[in-house]
Amino acid sequence: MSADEKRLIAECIQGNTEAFGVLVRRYQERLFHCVYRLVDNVEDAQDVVQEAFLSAYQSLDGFKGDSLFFTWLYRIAVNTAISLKRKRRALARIETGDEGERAFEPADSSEDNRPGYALEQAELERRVHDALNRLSPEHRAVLVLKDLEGQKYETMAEILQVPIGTIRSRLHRARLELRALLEKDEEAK
Amino acid sequence: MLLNRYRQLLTAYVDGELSKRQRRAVDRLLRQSVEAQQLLQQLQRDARILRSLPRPALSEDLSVRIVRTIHERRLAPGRRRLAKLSTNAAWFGSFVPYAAAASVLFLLGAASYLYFSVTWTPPATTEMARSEEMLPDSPPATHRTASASTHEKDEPRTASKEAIKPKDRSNLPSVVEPPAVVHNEGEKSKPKDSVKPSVPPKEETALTERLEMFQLDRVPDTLPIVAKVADLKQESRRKSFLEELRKDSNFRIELPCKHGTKAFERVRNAAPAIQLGLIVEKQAQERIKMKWHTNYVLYLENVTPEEFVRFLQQLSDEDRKLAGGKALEQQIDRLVLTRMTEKQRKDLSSLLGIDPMSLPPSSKGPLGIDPRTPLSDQTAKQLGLALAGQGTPRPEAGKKPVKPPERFALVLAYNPVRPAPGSDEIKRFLDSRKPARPGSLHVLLVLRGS
Repeated sequence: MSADEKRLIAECIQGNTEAFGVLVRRYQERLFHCVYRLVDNVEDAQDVVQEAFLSAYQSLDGFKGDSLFFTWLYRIAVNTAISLKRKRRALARIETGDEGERAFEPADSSEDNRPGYALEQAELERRVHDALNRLSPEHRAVLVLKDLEGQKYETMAEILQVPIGTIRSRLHRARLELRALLEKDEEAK
Repeated sequence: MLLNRYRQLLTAYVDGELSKRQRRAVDRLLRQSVEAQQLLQQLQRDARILRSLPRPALSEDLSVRIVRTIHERRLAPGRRRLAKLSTNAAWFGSFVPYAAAASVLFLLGAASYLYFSVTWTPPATTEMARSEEMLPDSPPATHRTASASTHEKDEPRTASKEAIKPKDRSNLPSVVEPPAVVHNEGEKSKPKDSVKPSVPPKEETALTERLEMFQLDRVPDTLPIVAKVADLKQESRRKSFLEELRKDSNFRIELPCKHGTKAFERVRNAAPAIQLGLIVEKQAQERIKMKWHTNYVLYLENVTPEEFVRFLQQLSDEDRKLAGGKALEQQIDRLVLTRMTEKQRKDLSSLLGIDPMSLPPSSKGPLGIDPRTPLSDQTAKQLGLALAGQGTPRPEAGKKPVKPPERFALVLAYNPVRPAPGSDEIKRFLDSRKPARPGSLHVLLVLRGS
């Protein structure tokens, strides 16, 4: 943790809300990207990020600096997002039946210049995004942290507060589940 | 089919989290297995697409909003830990009511035991036989005690029925002779039957009224009711739902919907059916304007069960109308009705800043008009507003004048981030409250999007 960050945190604890504003501005964008992929909704993501920052502010005096401040923030935000998703899943859901009927072409780097490649790539992204949303909150969290945020197993274990072995097995299951969903989608076309 | 441990190695390979030895093992596997090569390619492509997913930009700087909320809610570092500590204390404290209830039950049981052990003496065998005989419709006793049977043997068999009559009880050794009735001269004119025979005191048995305290009361029915909103058009369903609403006065209704803001449009259209005005809190207004996915909570009071059912029927109609016949566009399906719990009531109080059920409305009239103010002052004020173009609008020519709302409901956004109590809209709603009509309800209606 940088000296500047330590100073800002100390000022926050003394009641300087402007110092906290600086920390929010520094990390809000990164946190928002991560949370957005977890909740899949801009408004919910903003709410979760705001709530995470407010929770962090109230718990600042308990932050010992053992981990990076951002990792600590991640932990609060990811847990808030996961619990929000769990609540949403628990509610009786009325399915909209939004099943696509468009073609699936495997991405091949040699085809980058082929006409229509960009369109197909966009379609593929949409399908991966849809499949990601169908995963459980825990599986989605590990994929987002690994592939989108580029975190190491060790940091992920710290954020999600589970052993590294659990992260490894969750990621394994999440990748295979994502693959199975995409294959199912491909078969249904 | 690849073994699971190879698949696990391949996923870890994609993550870039393998040791040198594991990496060598994967390289060997890839050289030998086409299936492993294919799976790895697919996993790598999935990961690449995940990484390339677009990242939406944050539309606003949250720092301003967050710092403002910190000031509004008076948050400070360390408060949460204190709250947690108090929660722990509350955990311990939550056992206190159970302990108290257990103590009361124990005392009650002990007192009952002492009471009955003193007052209840076991009746003599003969008396038990007699009391059995005194029962008007009791069948001939076939299981009497030995002494009673002996007594019967002394009597002629034909007289067995007379033996039941009270007059013959004088023959029984245990019966005390009743005192002679003294008639005054003046009372002679009265018919004989007006003199009530002295009723012997009831015997203490295990089923006397002394045990009334143990008679079970009806267990209140507080299970949630799930009803299809469209079915409330049916007379039988409507009646049974009305019956439920009449059982209490404070309810919470959960209305799951596909899109909270779209469902709110239906609520807004249905509200005039019961002359219900909506006061929408600022944060909720913004979300409605932006058509964002939002959960809303409506608090309404002073509404009778009949009016509320009418509102729900209208809501169903509006839903069908706005969906334009497309089932997928319909927002509302079922509702869950529960009686408001203490916790939900506290939740409502935290939203409003007051407990509306315990705090009666102020003496002010609707929308803050104080009837105690001299008329001339109010008239002048209203005239001023009308001249400034802010008064009640006149109905357009050819259109029916819209009836002014009789009551107001407060609409709040009900997301993880709640509005701070004490906003202008909440104050306006509290000012608009009227004294409750008899039999009216307090309803907390939650529109929860999926």
